[in-house]
Order: sequence, then C-alpha cells, then structure tokens
Amino acid sequence: MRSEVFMEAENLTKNFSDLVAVDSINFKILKGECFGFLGPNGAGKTTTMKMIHCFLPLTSGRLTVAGMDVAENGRGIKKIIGVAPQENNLDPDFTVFHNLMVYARYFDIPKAEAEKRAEELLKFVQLDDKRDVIIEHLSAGMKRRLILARALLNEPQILILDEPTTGLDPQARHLIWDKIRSLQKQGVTIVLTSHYMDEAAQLCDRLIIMDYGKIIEEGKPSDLIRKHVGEEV
Amino acid sequence: MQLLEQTFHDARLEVVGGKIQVFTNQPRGVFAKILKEVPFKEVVIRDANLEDVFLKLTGRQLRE
Repeated sequence: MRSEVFMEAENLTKNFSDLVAVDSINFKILKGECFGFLGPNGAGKTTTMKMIHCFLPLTSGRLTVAGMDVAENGRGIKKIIGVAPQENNLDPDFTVFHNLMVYARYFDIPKAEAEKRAEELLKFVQLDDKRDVIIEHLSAGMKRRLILARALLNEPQILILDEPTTGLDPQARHLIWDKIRSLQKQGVTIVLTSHYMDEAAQLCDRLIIMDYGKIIEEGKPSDLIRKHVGEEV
Repeated sequence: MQLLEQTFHDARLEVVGGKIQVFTNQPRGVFAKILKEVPFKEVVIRDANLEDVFLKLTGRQLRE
C-alpha cells in the first residue's frame, strides 16, 4: 500500500488583518490519494489551497509539499504542482491552443515539447476540435476542461482542483470526474475542494470538513457517514 | 412524531422542509410497523450520505 506522506501541514495559519481565515490546522496527505477539503463558504478551503501552491505566504505554522517547505522552496514546489483555480483566469482574447502555449512559458517548457503536450492534453479533455477557438466562444464546461488541461502542462505530481465542477452540467461534471480518476490512476496526487457532497464522496479517498478556519472532521467518506448519521434516513 | 421517537429511541429526528427525517441503523421492517399505525403520505428510505454529515457538522445557517 502507498502510505508515503506527500504533504503535511502543522499548525497552518493564515490571517487577513484581523480575520483568521485558516486557524492552526494540521493534515497529512498521502502520495497518490485523492484528498478533499469541504466546508461552507468562508471556511478557509481556498486559502489553504493557495498556501499549498505558494500563492499566499503563511502567517504561521509549517507546510511541506513533497519534502519541500513552502516558505523556502516555492519555486521547487511550483514545478511539480498543477493548479486549476476556482475562477476562470484564461486569457479571453487568445485561442484555446494559444492559452496553453503562453502558460507553458512559465515552466520554461521548450516550444516543440509544449506544442506536443498541448495537443495531447486537448485530446485528453476532448477539446481538440476547439483548438483554434477564441476563449470567449467556449461554454463554461469547455473553459473548465481547458483549465484542467492547462494545469497538467507541467506534468505535475500534485494537482490542486479548487471547485472543479461548479456550475457545470451533468455531462461536463462526469467527464471531469472521469479525468480526475484517470489522473489518480496514473499516480497523480489530487487535492480538491468542493461544495458537492456526491462529488466528494465519489472521488475522495479521505477528506476533511472545515468550518470557520478549523478542521472539524476528517476521514474516509464512508466512515464519516457511518459515524455521524448511521446507515439509513 | 411521538410514535417515531418511541420506535427509534436511539435515532436522531429532524424536521426539514415539512418532512421528518429519521436517522437510524435499524432494519427497514420497523417502518412497515409504523405505517400500519400512522399512514404517512410519502415515505422514502434511503442510504445516509455525506451531505447529511456535512449539514449535521456545519449546521444550516447561511454563511457570509
């Protein structure tokens, strides 16, 4: 069994002036698992994601990703992590393909290699026939798939998915779920946030529930159900 | 409601949107007995799910 700890937070804390967004939380994520962060709006999920991919500095505590400390080795972590943020931050004036190529430059991927990966990823998310379409002409589901493809350009070992299926129709959600499962099979460690409990129950090996910046529960979805609400309603 | 409480004495009861939710591990047969005594209009038995856990732990109060 895989049991190598791949990401570890100790007393992880983030304050925004007098608001404590993340309040001294501890968690361990194992290599190869799909780990979920659930919680109402404002619980601190997205802030935690942003600290993991070194977008926000910690206020206090310690956070290591693949053995690297986020406070010391942000560059090293960014190389092995792929991020699909909650908001659509694609460049609206560029084509699908061009968006991927611009993003590949952040990782210094050689042009020929970037083109090859971009073509492959567009096939993977079933957008190869939209290759030369301008972003503003894509549906919400297509944009989410493109953001997923973009997050995979650097062939990450860890994939951060912040609300990957919010606002999508059932067809697009199921396609994204399929892709997440197949990435996990390839060995990618997945960290996701979601407001959809069915999504979390289906995808996550383990998850935590946060509220007001704190972790209030942690475990396998099936164990949590048995523990808190019994078997039938 | 009282009958439900008596029958499922170790269960959690919750009234949501005009429905009574009974959380229980007891076998489904008990419901048949209750239905004989009180003809509830709509009865649905389902597996408990993660949304039940989430709402129990974080409450129903809106945030922000």
